[in-house]
Amino acid sequence: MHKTLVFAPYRQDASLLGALLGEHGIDHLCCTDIDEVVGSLHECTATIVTQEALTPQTLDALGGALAAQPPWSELPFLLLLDGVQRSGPSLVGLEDALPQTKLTILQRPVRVVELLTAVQAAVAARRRQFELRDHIALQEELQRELNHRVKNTLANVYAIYHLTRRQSGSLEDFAERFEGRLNALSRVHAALVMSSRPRSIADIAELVLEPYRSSDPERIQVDLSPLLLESAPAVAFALSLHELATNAAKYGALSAPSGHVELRCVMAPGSEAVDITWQETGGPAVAPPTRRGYGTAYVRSAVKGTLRGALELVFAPEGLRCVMAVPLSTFAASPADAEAVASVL
Amino acid sequence: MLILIVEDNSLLAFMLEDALTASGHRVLGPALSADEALGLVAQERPALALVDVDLEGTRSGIDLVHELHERHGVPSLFATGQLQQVCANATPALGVLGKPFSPDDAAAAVDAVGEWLMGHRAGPLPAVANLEWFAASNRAWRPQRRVREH
Repeated sequence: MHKTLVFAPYRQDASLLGALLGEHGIDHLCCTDIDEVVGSLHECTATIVTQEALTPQTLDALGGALAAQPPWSELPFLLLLDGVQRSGPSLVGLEDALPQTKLTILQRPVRVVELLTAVQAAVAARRRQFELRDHIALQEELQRELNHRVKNTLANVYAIYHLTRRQSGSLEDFAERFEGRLNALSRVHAALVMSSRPRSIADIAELVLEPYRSSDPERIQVDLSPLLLESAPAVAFALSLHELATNAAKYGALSAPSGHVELRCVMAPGSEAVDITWQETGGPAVAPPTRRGYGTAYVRSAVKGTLRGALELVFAPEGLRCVMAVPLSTFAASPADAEAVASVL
Repeated sequence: MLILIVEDNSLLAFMLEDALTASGHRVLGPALSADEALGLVAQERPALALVDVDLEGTRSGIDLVHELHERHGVPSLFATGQLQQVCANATPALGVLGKPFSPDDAAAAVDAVGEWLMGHRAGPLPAVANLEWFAASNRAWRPQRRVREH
């Protein structure tokens, strides 16, 4: 695809040069007119031009095309001249007429070895320029992606702020809830938002529930399979667990010294969904809430929406039970597929 | 009004649902992909769609907005952080609500579009925080509605 251009419109020059390059395995294109040269200029590895081809018109067209090169590009330009007149008019101003070029002048008759060495050096230099181009493009892509993720993170913080403000009765109430949610988001942020790698529900539960187990690791028993979630559903699952845990710490099993929580997942034979069950025991007697809480409203919305599942909340006297039935299609297919999904970040 | 929400971020989807139902609207979705959104629209036609650019699946929010407009006659507002991508593409969307936006911004945007679509409001769409209206698509929508009204 990347070829060395040859523009030698007179005599047998083009066919002789072409045969020589072909013989030595250098991919090339012999151009018959200046439009063809200009059209292929940005993608070529080098350009070989004979003295006779450089009329004022061609110089003009070449100069325009060369000036339009991107900043990383400095096209290798090989010029074949009869007898070099260093002070002669043909060379004066050539550097200016051919901007952003790596100009090499070869005196005819050119020895084969000299020409081939010059072409090979030009191709190698050009290849490094293409590498630089690819590197710049990758950097720009990463910058865009990072920008996007930072914006997404800010949008999450904004959403938490607005939702908590709506829910809270006092500033103290707001401060406590907001800090708890912000803390939960921060704990999963690096793993779930800034990384493209899917995470297992077991890992996510460990991250979110860690603060609630610090006094007694046995209080929360987690037994989850290594099913993987992509970033958005992983955040939904993490924040849902946070809402359940913070609720349990305030009113439920984690508010009493004897209370326990079990988090398990089960898949019924033939079922297309995984039941992830949060079961509280040993806490104060549970009564159904008198008004619809924001925490549970979020969990309901997140499970139904982002996780594409169904939620069952049972306020049994012996302890709250929450079953998230999440369809298999929500999970990242397999670790092998997950590797393919993971991008450069 | 019935509002379709197309957003895979659970927090933003919940915030939109909460804000729109609080101001008297009904919510369709949230859908996570263009296919899912079109499946919902086939069952019940919304008055307006709020669409994120980055969606699950192969089709983007930009594709979805075209399809909603051309095949279903459903107007859209982008709700996205990717303002540059949206502005660079000719789109039939009415405008773009830039992330991060507040629940009040979203409700105000939806109410403004509602009044305007019903023909209650003459002249240009009113200024709403974090919202940029697309002049070209406003012209495209207007005559269609006027024909229906009279």
